[in-house]
Formats: sequence, structure tokens, C-alpha cells
Amino acid sequence: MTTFGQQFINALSLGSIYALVAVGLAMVFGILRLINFAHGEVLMLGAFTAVFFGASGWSFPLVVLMTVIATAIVGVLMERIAYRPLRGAPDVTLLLTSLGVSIAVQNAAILFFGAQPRPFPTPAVLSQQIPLGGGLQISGANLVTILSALILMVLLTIFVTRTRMGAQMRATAENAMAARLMGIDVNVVIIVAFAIGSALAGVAAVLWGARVGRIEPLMGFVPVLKAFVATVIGGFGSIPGAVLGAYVLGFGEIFLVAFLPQELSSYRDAFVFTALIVILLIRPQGILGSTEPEKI
Amino acid sequence: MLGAAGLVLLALFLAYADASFTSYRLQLVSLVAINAVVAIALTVTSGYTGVFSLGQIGFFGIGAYVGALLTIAPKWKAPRVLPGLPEWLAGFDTTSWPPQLALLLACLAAGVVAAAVAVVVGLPLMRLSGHYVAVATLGFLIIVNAVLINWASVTRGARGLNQIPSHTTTWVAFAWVIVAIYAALRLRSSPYGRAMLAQRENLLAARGIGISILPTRLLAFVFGAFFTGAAGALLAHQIGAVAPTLFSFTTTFTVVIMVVLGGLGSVSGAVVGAAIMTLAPEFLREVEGGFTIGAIQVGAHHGLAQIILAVGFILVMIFRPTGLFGDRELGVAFLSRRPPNFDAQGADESLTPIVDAGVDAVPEDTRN
Amino acid sequence: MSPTLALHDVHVLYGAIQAVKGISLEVRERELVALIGANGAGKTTTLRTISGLFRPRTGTIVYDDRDLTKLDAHDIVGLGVAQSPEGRQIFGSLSVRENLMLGATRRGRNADLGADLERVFALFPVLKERLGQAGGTLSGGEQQMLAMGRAMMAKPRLLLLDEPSLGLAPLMVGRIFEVIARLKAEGVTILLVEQNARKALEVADRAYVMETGHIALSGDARTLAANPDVEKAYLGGAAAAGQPAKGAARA
Ligand SMILES: Nc1ncnc2c1ncn2[C@@H]1O[C@H](COP(=O)(O)OP(=O)(O)O)[C@@H](O)[C@H]1O
Ligand SMILES: [Mg+2]
Repeated sequence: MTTFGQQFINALSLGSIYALVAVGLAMVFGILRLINFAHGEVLMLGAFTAVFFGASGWSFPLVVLMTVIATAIVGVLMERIAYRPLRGAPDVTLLLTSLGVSIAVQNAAILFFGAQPRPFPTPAVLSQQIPLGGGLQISGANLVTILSALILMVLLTIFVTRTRMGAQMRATAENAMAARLMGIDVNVVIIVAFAIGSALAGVAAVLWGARVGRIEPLMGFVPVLKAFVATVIGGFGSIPGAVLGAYVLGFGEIFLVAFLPQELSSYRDAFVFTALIVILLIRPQGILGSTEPEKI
Repeated sequence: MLGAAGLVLLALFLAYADASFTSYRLQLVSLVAINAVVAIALTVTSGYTGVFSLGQIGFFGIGAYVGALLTIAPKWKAPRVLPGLPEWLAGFDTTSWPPQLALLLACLAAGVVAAAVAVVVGLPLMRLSGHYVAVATLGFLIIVNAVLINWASVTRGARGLNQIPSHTTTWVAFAWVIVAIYAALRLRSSPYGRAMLAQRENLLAARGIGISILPTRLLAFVFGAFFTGAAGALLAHQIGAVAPTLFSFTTTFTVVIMVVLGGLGSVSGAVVGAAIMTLAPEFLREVEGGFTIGAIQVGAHHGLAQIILAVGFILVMIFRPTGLFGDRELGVAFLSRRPPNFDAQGADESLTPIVDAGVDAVPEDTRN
Repeated sequence: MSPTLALHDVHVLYGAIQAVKGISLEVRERELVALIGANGAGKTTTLRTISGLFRPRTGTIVYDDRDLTKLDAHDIVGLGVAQSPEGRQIFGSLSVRENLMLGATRRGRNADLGADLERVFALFPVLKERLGQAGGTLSGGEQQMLAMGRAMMAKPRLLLLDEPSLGLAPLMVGRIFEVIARLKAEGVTILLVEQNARKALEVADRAYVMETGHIALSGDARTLAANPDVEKAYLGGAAAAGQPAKGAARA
């Protein structure tokens, strides 16, 4: 029972990080129909920012703040430089461009930071184990991860459903042409989407760093890939779907490893992607997606 | 005519290269050819059909391992090294065969196995379109990678296989390029190829004239897998060792760039793209000796070439999204005329930024 | 007095396809001008170009002494040009209230929209009952009302209506045209695109007839309605209104 509880906490924490990454992907996809592969590089740069400020002796909350600011700026710059000139281009062109951005940023990071992993200076509080009673305990990092994801998701929901900008964002995602006829400045909406999504990736960067304990220039690939799977599970472009998909994935992964025979658990990613393909085939619109994707 | 002249020129070049190139340079020449085969294969799979596959390199990996396991001498694949191999394969010995025969067998077997996998994978996946097929095929690549890394009793895991005989020569590599070009062009002018292009342009219309979409796409997928698998075997016998990292997402991206750079749908574009993407890093390596930007000392590093290529690729996407050749082929007409006028752009271009060009157009919602 | 809106020699291309081939037209203040023509004549393209969704290859679109071809779509709305687009294009997943509020996007965060909402409800009482409902759940006629109400929320000085009666039951068509007449009476300047030429010519002051990207005819609405060519091509003789004889105009 305790193992189960412990795994449950672990899954919740992993799902929370995936959710923070997946939301940014879903927001951008919803509006631009762009699968932004370079979202992982936003996360990676966030992690390096955190290490930089952490090493400069800043307090942890300030480090997080600086990271979030930095990733928001990086995301907005990416949009401005690489994606905006392609507004209206075919989906595949956008997808390929984001791959190009991803590779360029990865290699720039290797060039400037070196390919060697660096330790992530996790603050002592986050490494502490907090007893929950009944033999269960939760690490500070997991607690912070779960709570911050929860709080941020609530704030995001309020933003999307209750604010003017949130309504503009939903309108643009649903019908960009009509949105423009309403007088919505679609560029502003897109910038806001990139900024918010990237800021959340910044939070995820710190949490991921604390979880894994080290960072390196190629670190963005795995979380962003998992976040893709999450958005596919939930339904491309749906924000609540992405969050739900992230937790489904987090639980699936952790429990797969926990309960699968040892020799198969290293095939975790293979199982994750097999599941992805199966979902694409039987319910390509995802769990919460409503629009039927093109299918032959 | 042009084809014959090209073959003669190629033969002269290969003979010259054999006589005067260093082995490193010869290896580069072979790599251009191997990459060209993969790029041609992807041109068929994705360029002809518009079904974007990010999983091509999965077949490259499958082909490389299959080819390698056939020709590695029995003492290097004995049960004590690779306990998972079936007995006949562990004992299968080509060391006494003529090397080119062994290589031919390896390539054909690699192609056939890859094609068989493609049938199984493609049957479900080729039903998907757009982003979905891209993500799903990427999933396939990751599954292949996970298997290569984890199925250690057959693949030696992350360490990979070595002791693969170096059978691949520039001649045989280019022979495969020629076969691939020929097959791809023949396919395109066949009813099957025309069906591929038709359903790419307009799915509904194609269906209307009686084209069944799934078999059409599946054929392109399997065709691409066969040649990619064969190229994998060529690669294995070129470098003498294979490891899972060779067949990663980065490799996929490089091949995608080759194909897109040359013009998605153009076979000669794929060859040119492969040559550029294989040779450019070599030239760019000059720059990688290290330099200083302001106060920052940038050390010698392999990444710079990648950055330049990636940025160059982004610029191509922005300014010439149909690639260098678009759908066209390099040929007599292409050489004798002035470049087909640069304003009348490819079909894709004319349907998109058009009137919207300056108005910050957002793609209209096509989901409803 | 200079016209509220004046198009001069406007050309619009979709790639190589020329949809609008040099049209000029005017809408004066408080006027209701109809733009009629067969399917594919280029009417929608013209309206979308006025709204800044497309940029014309050549030509000017002057509104209040400003050239709209230099402005972005959202700024054009900000100048008081609202459009109820063809096919309604309401936001199906947003509530009716949100749809209406989005219509007022350019009026700023602090605009007092209560009176405007009341005005829309006065024109379309059913919208008030549907406020909390998702736009996509409305009937076709209700969606058309929402699209028009949403455009009204911008407090437009120039209202562009693209095929407001398209696909509606005859009763609903009548209601929509009543509202158009009422808006005109209230002094709103309107450019109305319609395939239902009969109805459009009934309410309009003046009209332009568009054929394959050109203005073929123009003039006083009543005069045009009496013109035998128009009668034959667009009013379908005695046939039911809203059934333009496609292709006949080209004969
Ligand atoms: N997005 C588009 N791409 C290419 N051609 C278009 C597009 N939209 C409209 N057209 C063409 O432009 C012409 C005018 O269309 P439109 O303005 O919609 O006419 P109308 O509103 O009068 O029915 C038609 O021939 C139509 O086929
Ligand atoms: Mg129209």
C-alpha cells in the first residue's frame, strides 16, 4: 500500500511537470496549428537560466522568477523571429521550421555551455522528505511540483475563461478570420500565448531540474516529447485535454515501470509511444478533443 | 541521353576519386550516396504523397542492424556475445563469399525486412494525415530506438554492433543511388505514382476518380522503407559499426532537411540536398576551429556547423518554402531554359500567403 | 460631402486567380448600398478586402479620408467598420454573451456596453434568452442574429453584411431584412452583399451589380430592379426570390 501511495505521489508529480510543458504546446497549437518542437529548448534555456542565477547566490523564489521571465522572452523571440514570417504557411512548413529552431538552439547551447551535464543546485528544502503519516512521505520537490502545477492550472483556467484576453484567445483558436473581424489583434494574442506557455515551461524547467538533478543542452527533448504525447492523448489544441493527458501519461509511465517485470520496464518509452499510436488510431481527436481531425 | 552522359561523368568521377582521394574523402563520397538513397526514399514516402513521416530513420536503423547481423563473422555473433540470435543466423557465415555478393544479400535482406515492418506499421499509420502521421511516425522511430537499446541479446544495446566487414565501396553506393533514382522516377510516371500525386493535391478529388488512398500511401511508405533499409545496410558496411545513436531524431531531421531543401517531391532535389547536407558540415568545419565573439571565446566545436545548417534551413523555409527545386527535376529542360520563372511559384505557395502576404494573415481554420 | 467609403480600381488576387478585377464603388453616409451578383462574382472577396483580411494588389479603399489598404484588420474595426461575415462565423464554443462582447473588442476595457447590449436585445430579443448558451447550439437563424448583433456591438459607423439571409427559412429572411431596414432607419451606413437580389433591392438606396470580378451595372435600387437585364439575370423573372439564375448574367 505504501509503495502504491508513494508511486501515486510520484506519478502526480511527473504528470504535473508534463502538464506545465504540455499547456504551452496546446495553446500554441490551438492558435497556429504549429507543433512547436522548440518548446523543449525553451525549457532547456530556462534550466540554464536557473542554474546561472542559482549559482550567483540568488534566493530560490527569485531564481524561479528570473527563469520565468527569461523563458517568456525566449518564447516570444522565437515566435517573432522564426514563426511569424511563416504565418499562413502550410502546417508541414511550420513543423519543420520548429525542428530547425530546436536544432539551432540546442547546438548554440552546446557551443556556449558545453555538452557536459551540470548539476542542478536544488535547494535543501526541496530535497527534504516530509512525512505524510501512514508511512508515506513526500519530497519537498514533489510537493512543490504538485502544488505549483495545481495553482498555475487554476490561474490559467481563470485567465482563459474569465478575462478579455482569454476570450480573445479562445476566439482566435476557434476561428482566426472571425477573430480579426472582431478587431482582435491576432499578433498580440499569439505573443501572449507564447509568453504564457513559455513561462509555464520555465517553471517546469526548474521543477524538472530539481527532479533529475542535472541539466544539459539536450534535456528539452524528452519532456517536450512526452508533452506532445500528452496533448495528443488529450486532443491537440485543447488546454484541459493537455493537462488531463499529462496526468494520464505520468500515471501510465510510473505504474508501467512499477508493475512491469524488470526486463520490460526499460521499454517504457516504447510502451508510451505504442499507446500513443493506438490512441491516434482509435480516437484521433484525443480524450477531450471535439473536432475530428482529417483522417482518410 | 542526359542520363547516359551523367552515368559516364559519374563513372569518371568515381574512378578519379578511387585513384586520388584519401580514404576519408572516399568515405564522404560514399556517405553522400547513402544519404541520397535515404533522401530519395523519403521523397517518395513523403514528397509524392504529402504524408509527412518523421520515422524514416527507424527503417534506416532496422536495415543497418539486419544487414550487419548477416555479414558479421560467426565468431563475433556467437551465443556468448549475442545470445538472442537464432541459431541459423548466429552460424550464418558470409566470410568466404565474394564481398559484393555478401553486401548485396545484406542490402536486399535489410530492404525486405524494413519493407515488411513498413507494411505492419503503415497499415494503421497511413490512415492518419497531417500532424497526426508526423507524430505517430516519430513514435515509431522512438520505439525502434528503444528496441535497439534494450534488446541487448541481439543488438548489444547501447554499445551497438561492430566487426562489420567494410564491403561498401563508392561504386556500389552510387549503384544504389542510380537504382533508387530510376525506381523513383519510374514509380512517379506509373499509375501508382500519379495516384500518389493526385491524392496529395486533393484527397477528395482523388477518391472521386477511384483512387484508394490507403494502398496508395502504403505503397509509397513501403517503397521508402525498402530503400532506406538497404541504405542502412550500406551504412553499416561503410563505417563497420552501428549503434542506436546513429539512428536518432537528429539524423531524421538531417534527412528531412535534405529532402525539403532540394524540394519536397523532386528526386534530383533530394540528391542535391543530400550532397549539400553531407558535405556542408565538412566545409563548415573550417569555421569550427574556434573564434571569438567580443569577449566570448568560442571553442572549437562541432555544433557550429549544425547551427549554420539549421538557421540556413529556417531561412529557406521562410523565403523559399518549396525548396530549391520544388517538384521539378533537374534535366534537359531545366538546363536549357532559363530557370522556370521565379514568380510563378509552386502550387503550394500560390495557395497560401497570396493576397494575405502583407496583412499578417493567420491560416484560416480548416478544422470545421 | 465625401462618401463614407470609396473603393477605387481595386484588384484582388488569390495567387494567380483574379477574383476582383478593378472595381470602384461608393457608400455615402446613412446610405444602404447593396452589392449583388451571382455566386463567385467576387462580393465576399470585396468585403474581406475592405475589412483588411486581404490586401489588394492595386487600388485604394478610402474610408473617412484614410486608406484602409494600409491598415491591419483590427485597426479597421477600430475605425468603426464592422462586418458580419458570410457563413456567420460565430464562435461556436464561446457563449452568446462572449460572442457579443468580442464584437466590442476595440471599444476598450472600460466601455459601458450595457446600452449597446440592450439595443441588440431590442433588435433580436431571442439573444437575451440565449446569453449563457454556447454559440454553436443556436439555430441557423439565431446564429445569423448573433453575427449581426456581434457586429453591432462594435458601434459601427459602417456595417458590412455578407449574405445575411443565406440558408435561412423564408420567415427568418423576412425578420433579418426587417432588422436591416430598422438599422438603416436608425442611421447606420450599410454595405449589404446579397444573392437575394429582390429583397436587397427593396431595402437598398442604391446598388451595384457584380459579375466575375467587375461592376457590371450600378444605380438607384428601384431603377435597377426595373431593369430588364437585372430582372432576368438576378430576379429570376417571376421565380422565387433568392434563386439567382446562375450564369445567365454572362450570356
Ligand atoms: N481562398 C480562395 N482561394 C482561391 N480562390 C478563391 C478563394 N476564395 C474565393 N476564390 C475565388 O474568387 C472568386 C470570387 O469569390 P467570392 O468573393 O467568394 O465570390 P462571391 O462572394 O461573390 O460568391 C471565385 O471565383 C472563387 O472561386
Ligand atoms: Mg460570397
